[in-house]
Amino acid sequence: MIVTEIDKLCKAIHILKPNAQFTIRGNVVNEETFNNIEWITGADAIGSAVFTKTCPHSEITYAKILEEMDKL
Amino acid sequence: MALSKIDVVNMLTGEVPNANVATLGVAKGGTGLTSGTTNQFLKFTGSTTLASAADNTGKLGQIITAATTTATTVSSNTYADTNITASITPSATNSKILIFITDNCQVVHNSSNNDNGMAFRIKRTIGGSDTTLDTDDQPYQGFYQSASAGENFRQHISLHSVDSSHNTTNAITYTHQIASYRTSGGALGASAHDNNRGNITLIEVLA
Repeated sequence: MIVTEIDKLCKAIHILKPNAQFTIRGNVVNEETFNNIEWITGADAIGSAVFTKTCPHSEITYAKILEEMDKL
Repeated sequence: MALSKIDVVNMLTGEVPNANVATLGVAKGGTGLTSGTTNQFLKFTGSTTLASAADNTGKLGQIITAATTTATTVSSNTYADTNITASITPSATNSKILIFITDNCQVVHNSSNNDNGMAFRIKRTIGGSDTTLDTDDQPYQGFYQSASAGENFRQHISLHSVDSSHNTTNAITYTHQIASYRTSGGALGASAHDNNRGNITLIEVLA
């Protein structure tokens, strides 16, 4: 399955982790681009997002995201 | 020795050495200058002094523009960088930088709230140090829509700002940042949504 709908992707993320905060750049089309999602972990001195590309939420995996998107 | 003869012919056609001629100051209708700089103009540097100076008053120094079609989607009320960013290196510390940003933005409502919005901010980076130029006070101040849950709205937005405090001739990077008001249930805010275009233009205005 190819992920192309950002709206559904965001919903799927929030189903798995309701308060997950993140930034997505461009399109997510496969697991490689899914792994480029920037997961926000806090804010710096001027209030800009501090992020990691290592998903800090064990509930969220690419396979689970695809499963949830299929249900939407 | 008494002067016995005046060579009138040579006096009228000869040259007086520069060293024997005084510089006429501004107070006497002169310039007080012994030289100038090619392609420059005279400018008063005091009430009775002139100097060579560039013709740069209010002149546009340079224009930088950049565009992106890469979307940035956020589900956070913490400001995140978009791909709308550009760098400029001012030619003087006291020049002004005009910043113009256009963006195609989108908010998507979640299933439990009847509204969503976005906030915008311009971030300035000099030598790795970030500061905020302009920022919305509320996370829904830049773009807000109240409607049924689950809907989405799109809007073309324009931002502009003037940076008169950079005080540097090093490279400056300006970045459009966005935040989403609602951050759960699939709510999001997007820059250059659906890979539409976003632009940034930087103009240096010399002092």
